[in-house]
Amino acid sequence: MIWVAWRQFRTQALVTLGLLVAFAVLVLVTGLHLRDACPPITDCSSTNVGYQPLRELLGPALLAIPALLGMFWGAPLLARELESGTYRLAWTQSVTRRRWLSVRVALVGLTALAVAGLASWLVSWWFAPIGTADRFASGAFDERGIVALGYAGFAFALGIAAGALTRRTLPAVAATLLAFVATRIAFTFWVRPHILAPRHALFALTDGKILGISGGPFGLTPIAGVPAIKNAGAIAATLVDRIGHAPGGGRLHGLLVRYCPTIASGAPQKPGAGAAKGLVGPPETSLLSCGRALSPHLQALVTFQPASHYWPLQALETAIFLAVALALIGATIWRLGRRTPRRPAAGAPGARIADPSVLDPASQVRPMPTGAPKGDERSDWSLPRSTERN
Amino acid sequence: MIEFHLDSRSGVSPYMQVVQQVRHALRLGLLREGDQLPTVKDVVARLAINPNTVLKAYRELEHAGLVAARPGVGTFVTGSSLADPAISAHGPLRRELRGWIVKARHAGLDEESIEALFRDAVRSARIEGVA
Amino acid sequence: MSAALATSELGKRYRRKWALSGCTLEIPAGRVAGLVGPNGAGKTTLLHLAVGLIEPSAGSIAVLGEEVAGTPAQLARVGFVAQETTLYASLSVADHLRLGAALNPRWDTDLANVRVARLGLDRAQRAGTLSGGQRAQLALTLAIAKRPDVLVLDEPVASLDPLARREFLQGLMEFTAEHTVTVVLSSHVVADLERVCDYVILLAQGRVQLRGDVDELLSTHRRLSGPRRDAARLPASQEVIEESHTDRQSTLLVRTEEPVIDPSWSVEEVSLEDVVLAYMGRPEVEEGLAGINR
Repeated sequence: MIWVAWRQFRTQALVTLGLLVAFAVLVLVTGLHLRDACPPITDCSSTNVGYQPLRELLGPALLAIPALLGMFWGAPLLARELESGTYRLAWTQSVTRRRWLSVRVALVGLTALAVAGLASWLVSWWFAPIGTADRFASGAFDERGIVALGYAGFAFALGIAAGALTRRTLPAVAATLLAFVATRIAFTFWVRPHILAPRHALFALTDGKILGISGGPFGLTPIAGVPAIKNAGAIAATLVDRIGHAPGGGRLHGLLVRYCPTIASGAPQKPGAGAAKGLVGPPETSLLSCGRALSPHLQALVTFQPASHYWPLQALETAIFLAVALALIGATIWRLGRRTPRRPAAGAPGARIADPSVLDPASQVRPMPTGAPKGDERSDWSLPRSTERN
Repeated sequence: MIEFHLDSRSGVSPYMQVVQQVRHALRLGLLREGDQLPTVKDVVARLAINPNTVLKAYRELEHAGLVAARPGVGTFVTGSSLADPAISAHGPLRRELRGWIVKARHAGLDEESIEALFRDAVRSARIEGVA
Repeated sequence: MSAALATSELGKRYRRKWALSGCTLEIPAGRVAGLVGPNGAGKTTLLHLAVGLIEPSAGSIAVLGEEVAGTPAQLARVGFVAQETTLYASLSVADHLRLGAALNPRWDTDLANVRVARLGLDRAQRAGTLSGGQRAQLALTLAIAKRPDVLVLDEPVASLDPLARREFLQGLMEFTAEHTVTVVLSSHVVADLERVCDYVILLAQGRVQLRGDVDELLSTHRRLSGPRRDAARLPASQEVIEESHTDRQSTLLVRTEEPVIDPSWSVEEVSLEDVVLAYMGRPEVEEGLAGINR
């Protein structure tokens, strides 16, 4: 069976191997050159080191790889067999359907994981000297580390399941892509923030770059900006008073008026360079003095994922996706097999008499069991309906 | 070794055709004592008919004493020729037949009608003896 | 001797429609059974149920005494040639043989190789580029080399030219001559089956309309023609299957155990095709009505 699984996979595998080798060569050659070109002491994040197109494309390429694996390795595996009718050959040899599918899925699925893993390693290695501004941010998090393995497994499993349900290759490919993208987006925004609880820390307003001014229904109020914490992922920030309560807009406005009168009365100006994200307002110097003035009364409560959460988060997200993948595949394989054979009830009353046109001398007229039809019959999904003509 | 052929339009069942062809070959001397009949496998591979058909035909020929099956070897023509007992009845039958033919001629039948009538009568006699 | 294939009130439903219903039959072992019927009659459904590709909605089906369950042991005993002989277009002849060897414990490599060589197939040629006849022969080789006890073929010669058809049947018959096997093949062309089958089943509208030994069917059915008369006046031992009348003449197809002695009838034998067509044309016989129950 392993040979059969390999033989049916051979062309796809060799094509992908070729592409993978080309990709690896590209990454390795440019990556080594990049490392040579970087100044030894500073990091390579300055953009004039070069390879700008690759910087922008490698990440998205890695995002695409799991989807492509799902669409071109996962979806056609079962769908093509059902669509072309070759399942009628495959499933009448001497192996059960479940074993047939299990071996094929194992071979192709594990290879998909290996491909995704290798590509992910290559991209992570390439970006290592450049570093990442915020490696917890949704783009960067997906493009590095080991999560690509989880995505690939999941996309592959989606492909298999889609193939089983649609029984046609093109709809399966489309369904896989849609389901994959939708799930990934939903997961990133609704699940990932809750996987590991973030930490909270208090920052003094004198720490700089953390204070901003915003307009609102109460007039100008101070707000906290989300600082960039090295190697950690800052998520949100609020201003709180000394006992930790977040004051209302009115109170904040009052504080601003009292301790930073120049700002409170001044017109909004362009923010200085280096201001924390998302703030507009006065230049840095006046903000600093305002911060000093406010700091006995207010501080910034920052919610963030610490550096120590990075690998656990990667591992957990990968594990979740792989677990879902396994469940999907398991369900599909189970569903492929026969349900328990039905035993007819013997000697049921009211049975039909044998068709009188029957001539076979070997048959006798005996009460035939009337097997009750299964209620709510779905069409037998292992056999495409449209080929049932006879 | 003889070869069989099948005429699917003759109205004669395949097994009967095989029997007839063996008899015919015996009459013509194409099959002699000791000759082997084609194996069931060979016949079936050539004619694409059911092996049981051939087996039935060979069994009937064996029953008639014309061939004998040697298990594991094949089916062979026996010594008894197709000079079957019927030959001795040929003389009187032939004479009766001539008388009948003369009568038919007098009734106005031409040769074709006579043949048709005769063939039809032979067939009906066979068919009506049903099951 | 247990039946090679036995069904009991077998039925299969797709959504609302029953493709097959109330199907009860037994095919004795060692036969070459022909399954005939018009398109849409349920032949493919029945055969797919027999090889385990689909599961029954009602009733049961057993092959060689065991209920069809899809176990590897059972799968090994049944060979199947699907309609439109499905093969992997991109796999070569040799690949297909290797697939057969890998997936079947009883695979007979010599048988497969001898057959392929005799057929003149190029082992390296991809199945997609073979002719229709060659594909059918390869599919038959795969099913045969598996050494099954039951061989099921779904309209194997339907799309073949006459020569390919003849060659296919020759190969099939040669196999049955040498090995103990029960063959079940379906066709909507009865003439194909007449020389090859010794048992016939007629399926129409998802129900069994007729079944029996070919020899027995042919020896018990006759065509009677003669002056016009009412079919009901026939003796009870003669069951009228089909009748047609002009103002002067009546032609009946009857089933009878005894010789027809009425001299006003002209009696003829019928072909299997005649019998099958006559039964196909009958309206459905209601359960329990008079008929010959044996």
